Amino acid sequence: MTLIKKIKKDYFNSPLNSILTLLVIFLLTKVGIWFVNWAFINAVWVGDSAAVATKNGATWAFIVNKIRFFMFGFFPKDQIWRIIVAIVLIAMSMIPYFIKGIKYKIFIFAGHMLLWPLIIFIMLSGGGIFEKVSTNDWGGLTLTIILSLLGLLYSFPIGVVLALSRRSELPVIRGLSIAYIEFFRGIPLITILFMSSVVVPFFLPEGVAIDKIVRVVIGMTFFQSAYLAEVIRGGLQAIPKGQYEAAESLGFRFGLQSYLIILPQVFKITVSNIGGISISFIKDTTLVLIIGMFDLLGIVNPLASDSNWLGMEPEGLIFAGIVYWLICYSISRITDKAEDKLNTLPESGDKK
Amino acid sequence: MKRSLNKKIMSLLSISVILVLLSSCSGKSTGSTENIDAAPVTKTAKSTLELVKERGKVVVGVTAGVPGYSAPDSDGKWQGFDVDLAKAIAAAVLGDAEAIECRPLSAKERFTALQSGEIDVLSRVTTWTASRDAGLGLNFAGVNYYDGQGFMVSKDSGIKTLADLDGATIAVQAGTTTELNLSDYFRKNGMDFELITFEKNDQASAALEAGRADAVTSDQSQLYALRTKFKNPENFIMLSEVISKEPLGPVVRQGDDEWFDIVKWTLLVMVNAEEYGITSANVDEMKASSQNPDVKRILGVEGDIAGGFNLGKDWAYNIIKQVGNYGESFERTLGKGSPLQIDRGLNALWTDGGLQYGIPVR
Repeated sequence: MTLIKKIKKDYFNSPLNSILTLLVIFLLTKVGIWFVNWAFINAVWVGDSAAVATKNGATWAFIVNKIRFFMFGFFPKDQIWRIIVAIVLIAMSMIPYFIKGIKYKIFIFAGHMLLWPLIIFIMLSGGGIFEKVSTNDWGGLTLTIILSLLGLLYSFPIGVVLALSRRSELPVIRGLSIAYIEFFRGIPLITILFMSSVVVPFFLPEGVAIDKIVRVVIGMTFFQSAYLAEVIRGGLQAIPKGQYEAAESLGFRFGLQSYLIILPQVFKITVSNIGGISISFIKDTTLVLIIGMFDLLGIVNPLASDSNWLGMEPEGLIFAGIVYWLICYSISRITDKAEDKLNTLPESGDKK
Repeated sequence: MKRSLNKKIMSLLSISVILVLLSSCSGKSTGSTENIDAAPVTKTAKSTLELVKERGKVVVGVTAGVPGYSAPDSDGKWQGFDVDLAKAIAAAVLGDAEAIECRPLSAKERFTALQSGEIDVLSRVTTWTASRDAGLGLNFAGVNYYDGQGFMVSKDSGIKTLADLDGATIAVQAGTTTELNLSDYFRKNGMDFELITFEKNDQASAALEAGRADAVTSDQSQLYALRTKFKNPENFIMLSEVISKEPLGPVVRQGDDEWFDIVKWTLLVMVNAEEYGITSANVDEMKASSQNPDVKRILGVEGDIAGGFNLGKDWAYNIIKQVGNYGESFERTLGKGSPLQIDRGLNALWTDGGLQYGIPVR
């Protein structure tokens, strides 16, 4: 009864609102029915070429046939286990973060900065142990994950250093930090990507070739660290002066003061912002398609250019969109969880 | 006191980190200004041929996916008309058509990749123009596909020639040279037309399919790919005339004539093979029993043409055996053997009214 009353009060409280409500319901059903028809009822799930496509339904057979490429790019089929092992190793290396007793998790983080590229180099590239696979063949979701993971991993410490430097009392350090941050925030990511793919090869000395993927990760790290620095600086400014003074009166030096007292509070305040810019960073990695790298989004075009599967771009793009949504939504949920868990600041009230 | 000292140390540390980062960028840029000038010629002391032989692979720049020219097949291997040419080069130089590595490049990157030595040859639907040939430190090694802006019309419309298009409604992608060419051509010939522009080529061709437009215009190779997406592709035809010239061909670095010759003659051998009727199926038989001196010279039975290129005697045989002649490659990737169903048109042999002319191998 109350529900009906509530609906009546909220959606049918005047003739105009009633009409609008009905109109919206009508449009939603219309689009909904069309979409369900297209995506499910008339959809084709099996087939070997675009010949199985129907005019009114999606051809998910394209995704089914090409799923390997969406996930692993053009990595040789018999070597795909290496990617899976690499992902498992990287996931396992994160376990120490969740073990309560371990102190100095900063060392684990530092370890990851060495370990992850090593894992990726050995398992994916071959690293002299396995058959060499050119980075040219990396692609799909794998490439998206590699770019995001490495970019976020390295931008974090650089961002912290930049944020601390920007609040330094020494003018040279502050100036350099400001220059760096404003420079990289002032140019679009796409410019950095073009520079790294088109210009940098000319500047390298003869015989030295830095892989495109490394150049791109470095460029993206520069970019992301500038943004991260500003988020962390925001957090630093929110820490009451008393915290610094208390730390000093207890005899903490600058390093320990930052590490033990200031930064933990900063991360508590900024965790949702960090989550936010991480999500936008993951979406920014799609820009690499401009420089001929096939991440999850970029691989749709070559796959839909297979002359057996012409005209399958909509299905490919929708699939890529769904995967991106899943990734970004999970990160958003994780950030929310982390925020709840870390939310122990006194001003938030209910301390546990 | 103590605090400020430590603070200074920390600051010094962070400043040094930043300085290292900055110097690693700027150091490279100042140290190699002369490299910018030198790069377009050749970046390495070794010739491309030596590098390719050492590496055991030809690295070729391809598109990021254009149907029929270069696109990954169901195994993720790059296939297509442009890839076939790279395979032919690999067959000629290394004796193995599969010894290629395809480097997908965007349109913006393609020339840099070639200039900087990242790739050995660019085979990426690239139009040969004077400014590119002269201004970029590159050499175009021939034309493997004569493209041009054409028109697609419905079969029932009765439109047969460009003159029939007077007063027609024409769909075109907005803001492209295609649009400019179109209005230039119609103005020049005093013809009337109505223009409908679209954001994407797909939408322009959909307008033709839906009957909103009488014709759609774009590069012919594009129109064929668009046609395959139609529900009844057989109801639409391509007008044979074109209103612009887009010769597409392989590109190499300037300054390495040996490699330039190899790429140029790989393409010409394929055309010659078609002229003399040598196919991948009958090449062994031809080699063993043909009495035609031209065929004998091509296949290395007589004379020593290969020596001039620093290649093995079997170079042309390997091309034809492993990749096929020009016509075979065309029909397999673009023509009757593919969903694109592109007519030979300008790309037929000169003897059939096309432009592909095999310069004599002797």
